[in-house]
Amino acid sequence: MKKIVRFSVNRPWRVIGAVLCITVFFLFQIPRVKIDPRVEIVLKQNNPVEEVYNRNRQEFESYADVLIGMLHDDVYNPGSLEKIRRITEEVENIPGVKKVTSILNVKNIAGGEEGLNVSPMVEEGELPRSGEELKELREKARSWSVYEGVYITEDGSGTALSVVLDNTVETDDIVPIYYTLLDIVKKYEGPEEFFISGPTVVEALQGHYMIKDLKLLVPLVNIVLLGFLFLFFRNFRGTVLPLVSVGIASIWTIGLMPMFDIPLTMVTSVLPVALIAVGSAYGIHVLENVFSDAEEGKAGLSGIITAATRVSLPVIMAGLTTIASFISLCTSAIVPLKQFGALSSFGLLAALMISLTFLPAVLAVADSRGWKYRPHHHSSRDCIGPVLVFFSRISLRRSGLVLGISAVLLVLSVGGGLQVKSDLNLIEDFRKGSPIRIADEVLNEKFGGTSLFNVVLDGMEPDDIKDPAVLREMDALQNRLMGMNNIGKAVSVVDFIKRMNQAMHDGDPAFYTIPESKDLVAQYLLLFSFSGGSGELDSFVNFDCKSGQILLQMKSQSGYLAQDVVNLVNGYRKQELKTSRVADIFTTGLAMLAKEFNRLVVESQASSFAVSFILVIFIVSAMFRSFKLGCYSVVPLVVPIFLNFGIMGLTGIKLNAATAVIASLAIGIGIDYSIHFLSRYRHEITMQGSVEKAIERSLHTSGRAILYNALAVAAGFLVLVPSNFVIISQLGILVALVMITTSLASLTLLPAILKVFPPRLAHRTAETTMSVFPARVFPQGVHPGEENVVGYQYKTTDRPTNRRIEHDM
Amino acid sequence: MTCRSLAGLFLGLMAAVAVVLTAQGPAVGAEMSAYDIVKKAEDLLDQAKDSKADMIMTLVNDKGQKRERKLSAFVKKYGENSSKSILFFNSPADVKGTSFLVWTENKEDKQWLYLPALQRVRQISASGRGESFMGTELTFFDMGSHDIDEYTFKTIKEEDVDGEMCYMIEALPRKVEFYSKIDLWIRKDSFIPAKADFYDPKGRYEKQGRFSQVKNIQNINTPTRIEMHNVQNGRTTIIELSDVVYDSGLKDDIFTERYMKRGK
Repeated sequence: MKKIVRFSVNRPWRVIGAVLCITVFFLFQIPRVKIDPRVEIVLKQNNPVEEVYNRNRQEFESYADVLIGMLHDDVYNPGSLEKIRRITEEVENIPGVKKVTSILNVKNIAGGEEGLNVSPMVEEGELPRSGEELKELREKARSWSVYEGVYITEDGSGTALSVVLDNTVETDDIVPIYYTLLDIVKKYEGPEEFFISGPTVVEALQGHYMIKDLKLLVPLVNIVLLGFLFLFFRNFRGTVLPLVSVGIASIWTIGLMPMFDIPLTMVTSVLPVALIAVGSAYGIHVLENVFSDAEEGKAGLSGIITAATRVSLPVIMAGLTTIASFISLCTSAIVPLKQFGALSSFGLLAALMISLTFLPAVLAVADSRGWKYRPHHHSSRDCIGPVLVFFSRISLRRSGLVLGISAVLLVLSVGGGLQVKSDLNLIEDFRKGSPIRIADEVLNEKFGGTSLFNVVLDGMEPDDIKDPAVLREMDALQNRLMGMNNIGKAVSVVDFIKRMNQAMHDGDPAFYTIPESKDLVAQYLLLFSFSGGSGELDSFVNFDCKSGQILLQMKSQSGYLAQDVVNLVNGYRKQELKTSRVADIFTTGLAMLAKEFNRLVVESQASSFAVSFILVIFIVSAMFRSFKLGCYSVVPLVVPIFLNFGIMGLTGIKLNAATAVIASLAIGIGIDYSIHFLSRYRHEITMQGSVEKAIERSLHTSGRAILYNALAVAAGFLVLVPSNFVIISQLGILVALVMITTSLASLTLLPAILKVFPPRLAHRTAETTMSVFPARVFPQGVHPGEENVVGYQYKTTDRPTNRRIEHDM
Repeated sequence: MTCRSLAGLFLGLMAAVAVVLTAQGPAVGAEMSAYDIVKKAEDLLDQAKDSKADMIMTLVNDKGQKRERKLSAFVKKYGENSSKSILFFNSPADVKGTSFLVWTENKEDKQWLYLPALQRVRQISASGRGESFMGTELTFFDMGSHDIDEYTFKTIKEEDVDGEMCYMIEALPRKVEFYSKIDLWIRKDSFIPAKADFYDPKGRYEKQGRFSQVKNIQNINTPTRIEMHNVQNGRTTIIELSDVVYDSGLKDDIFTERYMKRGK
C-alpha cells in the first residue's frame, strides 16, 4: 500500500491524469444510460412468471395502454360527446398511438328483424344532438354490459377513452405522449374534468420522476455533505476533495451501467446519493489524517505519504466490510437489487481507491505549489460529551437493563416485523396528491380499474376456445371473478359470442347465451371478422384459437390481489372445471409479477441478510483473530435491523425494491461502528486493565466518531425524503433511523454485552493491536469533535496524557 | 367500377388490380404518363363480365403461425357502378358452407351472411372501409377499387423487381384517408403490377403487396398469388387463386339468398 501511496505522491500528475482519463471515459458513457422503470425487468430473465407474462403479451393484443377519463354530470350531451370525438381524433394523430376507442367508436353488435349490425356506436361523422338521439345512444350503451365500467360509467357521469400504443413504442416515448395527452385534454377542460392513467403511463412516469429526483437529490446530498465537510475541516481542500473523490467514483459507477446494460431503475437511481453518503468517509479519513499530521509538523510530501499509508489499512478494512455487505445483495433474485449490490460495491471500491491514490496525489500537487490552507478548526464546545457520559453510565451501571430493553425491543420488533408486507405497486410509489396518483384513484373509483390482469384458459388443441364447453367454463369463471372485491370488470370472448348469438336471434335477450354448437361459435367469429371486428377479438382469443383470456380490470396492481385471483382460479380449476378440453388455466399480468416479486424479495432479503452476516463475521473475526468478537460485532446490528422491520410492520411501510436495501446498508455501515468500538476496546483493555474503564474510555473516544459518522450518513440519506417517490422517501427516513439506532446500539448494547460477557482477549500489547488495526480505523469523523479522538488514538503509545484527552473526559 | 364491394374486390384481385390500380395495357407505355398508364389500365380492367375462382387465403402471424381458409368466389357485373358477388367457405370444417353475398348498386352495398349452423340468412351492415377484411392484412378499402381521379401519379423511375423491369409510379391521394402514399411497381412488358408499398396516414411505411405467378387466363394476364405483408405488425396474408374462369355466363340466381343456403 505504501508503494502505491508513495507513487501517487511522487508522480501526482500521472495518477491525476489517469483518474481524469478514466473519469472522462465513464463520463461519456453516462448519456447512454437507459431508464427502465418497467416492472418486468425486476425479475430475472428466466423467471417462469415473467416468461408467462411476456408470452402472453405476444399471444394477445394489448387492450388498453392509457386510459383517459372524462367526468361530467352526464356525458350524454352534445358538448361532451363532441369533445370525445375531437379528443379521439387528436389523440389518434399522435405518433405512436395505434388506436383510440371510446363510447362513440367502440363496436356495437346489434341485431333485429332487419338483420345484424356490427358498427361503431355512433357512425363516423355523425353525432347525436337531439334529446331523442342522445337517449338512443344511452340505451344502446346500456344494452350491452360489456361497455359498462370500461367506456362508460353506469350512471353516465363518466366516460373513458382507451388508447392502445404501437408495438414499437418504447417506455421512453411514453412520457412525451402522456404530456401531449395532457395538453390535448386541457383544451377541453370545463365543465368536464379529465384524468389520465394506465399501467404504461405509470411505469413511464416512474422513469420521468426518477430523473427529476436525481436532478434534485444529487445536488442536495452534495450540499448537505459540503456543509458537514465545512463544519469539520473549515478549509477549502477538506470541504471539496472528499466530495470530488466520491463524485468521481459515482461517475465511474454510473458510467459503468450502460456498459453492462444496466438501466436506471427505482433502486439504481438511489446509487449516487447512497455512494456519496457512504463513500465520502474514505476521503474524509485520508484528509483528516494528513491535515492532523501536518498540523503536528509532519507536513510535506513525506508527511502525506506517512499519513495516507497509515490510514490505508483501516480505510481498506472499513471499505471491505461495507462492500461485503453490499455485495450480498447480488444473491438476490430481484434484478435491480442485484445490480444495486454490484454497482454500489464497485462504487465504494472506486471511492476507496481514489481516496488512497488520487487524493494524496492532489494533496501532493497542492503542497508542492505551496498552497496554504487554514488549519481545521477544533471546536472546544461539545454537546456530545454528556451524551457519551450517559451512554457509559447506563451501559456500565445498568447493563442488565440495556440487555433487557434490547431483548424486549428485539421481540417486539420481530412481532412488528412479521407484519411487514412486501409489495410492488407502482402507483403507490407516487406521492398521495401527485397528479398521476389522483388520476389513478379517480379512474379506479369511477371505472372498472386501471390495472389489467389476465386469466388465460389454454385449450388442448387449436380451436378449442370455440368449444361451447370451454366457453361455458370461461363464463362461469368470469362471473366468479367479477364477484371479487377490487375487480371492477371482466371481459372475455364469451361476451362477444353471447351478444352475437342474441343479435342473430333478432336481438332476443333470451339468446344472450353461449350457443350449443362449436361450428356456430366458429361462424360467429367469422361473421365478426366480416364486420371488421377481428381486431377487437385479438385481445381475447389468440391466433389459433387455442387459448382465450378473461381480461380483468382491477382497482389495484397489488400482489396480494393477484394472490386472491390465483387462489380463486386454482380453486376453480381443481374443484369445478368439468371439461377436458381445458389443458390449463393460469393468471398473468403486472400484478402477478408483483406477487412473484413479493415472494422473491422476502427470500432474497433472507439470503442477502445471511450472506452479509456471514461475510462480516468472517472478516471481523479474521481482523480481530477472535470469532467471539466477530459475533459480538454483529449484535448491535441485529437489534436495529429488526427494529427497522418492526417499524416497517407497524407503520405499514412495505418491503419493496428500495426498502430491501436497508438491511444491507445497515450492516455495511453499522459494522464499522462495531469494529471501531471493539478495536478501541481491545486497545483500551490492554491500557486500562479493567473492563469498565476500557469501556468508558472507548465510549468517550470512538463513541464520538461513531455518533458523528452516523449523523452524517443519516443526514445524507435524509436528503431522499423530498423524493417524488414515497418508497424512496421512506428509504431515506428508515436508513437515517437505522443509522442512529445502529450507532446507539454499538454505544450501549455492545458495551453492555462486553460488560456482562467480557471476552477473554489475548493480552497483546497496544502496539501490536494498533499496528494491525489502529483504533482510529474507521472513517467516522465528519465533525469538529472527532479529531479529539483521532488525535488521541495515534498518540496513545507515546503520549498517553494527551491534552485532548483531558478535554475529552 | 368505383365500388367498395366484395365484387369489386374479387374481380379486382383476379385481375390483379385490387389494390394497385393496375394497368394492363399497350406496349407503348414508355411514352405514356403515369396517369395514362393507370387510366388505360382501368379501362382495360372491365374486360370480363363475370368471373369465378377458388382461393386459398393464408394468414401468417408475426411468429410464423399459419391459418388457412379455402373459398370459392363468384362475381358478376351489372353496368358501371353495380355488381354482385358471392363467397363460399369450403374450409376450415367449422365454417364450411358459410356464405357471404354482396350486392352493389350505384356504389351502395348490401350484404348478407348465411351461417349453416344457424341455417339462417341475415343481412349485415357494411363495415368501415379501413377495417381489416376477415382478419387479413387487407382492408375493405384495399379490396375495393378506386377512382383513379382521386390520386395524382408520377413515374419515379424504372426498377428491377424480382428480375422484371418495372415502372415505379408514386400515387398520392388528393385527400389522405387510409394511405398517405402508395408506390407501385408495374411490369414494363406486361403492365401487370409486381409490387406495391403502402404508407399509413401518418406517413409511415405500413404494408407491402406482391403480385406474382402471373397466368394468362382467357387472354387476361392474371397474377394468381397475392401477398400482403404488414411491416408494422409482422403479419402476412397470402391469397392464391386457382381455377379462374372469366365470362362463364354466371346466372343471376347464384347471387340470391336461396343459393347461399344451397352452397356452391
